[in-house]
Amino acid sequence: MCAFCGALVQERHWADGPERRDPEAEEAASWRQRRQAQVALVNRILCQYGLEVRDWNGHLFVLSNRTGQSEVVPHLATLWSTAERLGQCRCDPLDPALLARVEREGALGAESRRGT
Amino acid sequence: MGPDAPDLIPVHVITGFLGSGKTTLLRQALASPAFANTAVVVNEFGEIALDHLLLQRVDPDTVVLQTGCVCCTLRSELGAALRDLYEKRERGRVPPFDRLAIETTGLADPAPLLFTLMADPVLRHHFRLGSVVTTVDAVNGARQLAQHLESVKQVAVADRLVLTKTDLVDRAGIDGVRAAVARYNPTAPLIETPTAALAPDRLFAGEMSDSPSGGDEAPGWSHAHAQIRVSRLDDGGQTLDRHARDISAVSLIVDLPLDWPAFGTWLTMLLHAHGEDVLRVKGIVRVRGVSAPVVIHGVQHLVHPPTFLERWPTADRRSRLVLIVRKLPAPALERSLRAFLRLAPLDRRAA
Repeated sequence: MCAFCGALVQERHWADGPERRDPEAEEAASWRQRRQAQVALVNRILCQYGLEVRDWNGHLFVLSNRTGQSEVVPHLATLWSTAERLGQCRCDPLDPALLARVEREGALGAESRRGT
Repeated sequence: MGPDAPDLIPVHVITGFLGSGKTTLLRQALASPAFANTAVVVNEFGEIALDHLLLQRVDPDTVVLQTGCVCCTLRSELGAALRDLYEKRERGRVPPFDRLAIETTGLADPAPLLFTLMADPVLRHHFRLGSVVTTVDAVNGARQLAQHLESVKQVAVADRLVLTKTDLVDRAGIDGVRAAVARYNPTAPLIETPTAALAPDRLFAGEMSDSPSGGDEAPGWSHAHAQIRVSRLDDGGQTLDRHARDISAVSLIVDLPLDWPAFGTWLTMLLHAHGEDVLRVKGIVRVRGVSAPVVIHGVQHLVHPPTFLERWPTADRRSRLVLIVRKLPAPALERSLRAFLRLAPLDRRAA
């Protein structure tokens, strides 16, 4: 349990990444970096539904919609069902409309990075 | 996960359609010195637990689940039975068994059973999923696969397959069954009995996460050269059950190292939206920033914690994912994975 906020520290979820044989070996900085990358990437999907996620303490996610409603979710596997409720949407990675936008973003991102 | 969790008791699951030789296989395994100190849980379908009588002579620690299909109605009972068995072990009321074997009914969909083992908050601190071994009858296997979705699911979730009664069928018949099985599970090693001697210690060696590690045992991993390989089912002269016709094995190959945040986002979202139609996920992937190959195993909504292999099973170091899916078009899966991976920043991206 976090001594400051009282939140229960969740067990590691598979989507957090492969677990090192020695968990202590993974430095906090490396974990934070990967967590930030995860949040940034999920937000590129969630913007399709008018939602946003942020990290909380490196172990939980806070998911919000445009009206300010927020919910805490423990890991990515539960994030999508909460997203469907908050966003009144269906989160399907095979949805052609989502894929068309994601493909455009991927292509534009590559172009802009090549330009810099 | 073996090296990571040495204190957890492995639970091996033996499944297979009615009459396919599950009990024979289990009895052979239990007679082997390598299988000493094994507790057995048998699920019986019907009023008379005949198989239990057979097994009782082999091992006194059999727990019989009496009320029907273990996967449809007895998940809580299975959990309770295993917790009870563990408690007895801890209190010294049963011998300190080193492993557990569960034989399912022939009509069982094994996925909920595996789910119980992997997700039960108490069980997963004491037990870990070992190998899932599925028996397939060489005489009737192809027909059963064509007609019964349960049979397909049993084959799809297997880490290892045992083709039984091969002495009753000619070579062409055996090859036909092998081809039918490969459509639903192209990666699990298949052992023919009785022509090949069973080595229980090898059959149940390791666990789910170890199964693709042996290059010689996993031909499905080594010859998947196509960028996307789809095993579509055709009738082949038989009338396939509508459900069986909808199932296919999709192989996805990614050349560059995977960006884990992108891959995790994609897979969690896919399993959220289509978990019931993803019967099985298996993969050996090369993850950006990780030197060892990472093994992925999932059954429907549940994914086993990814583990590392000591080395790549073959010289091919591309990421390979095999999905056994129902009604999910392979091109859409491939397009979706590729689009998500391209969202990763360029310095972390896989093509």
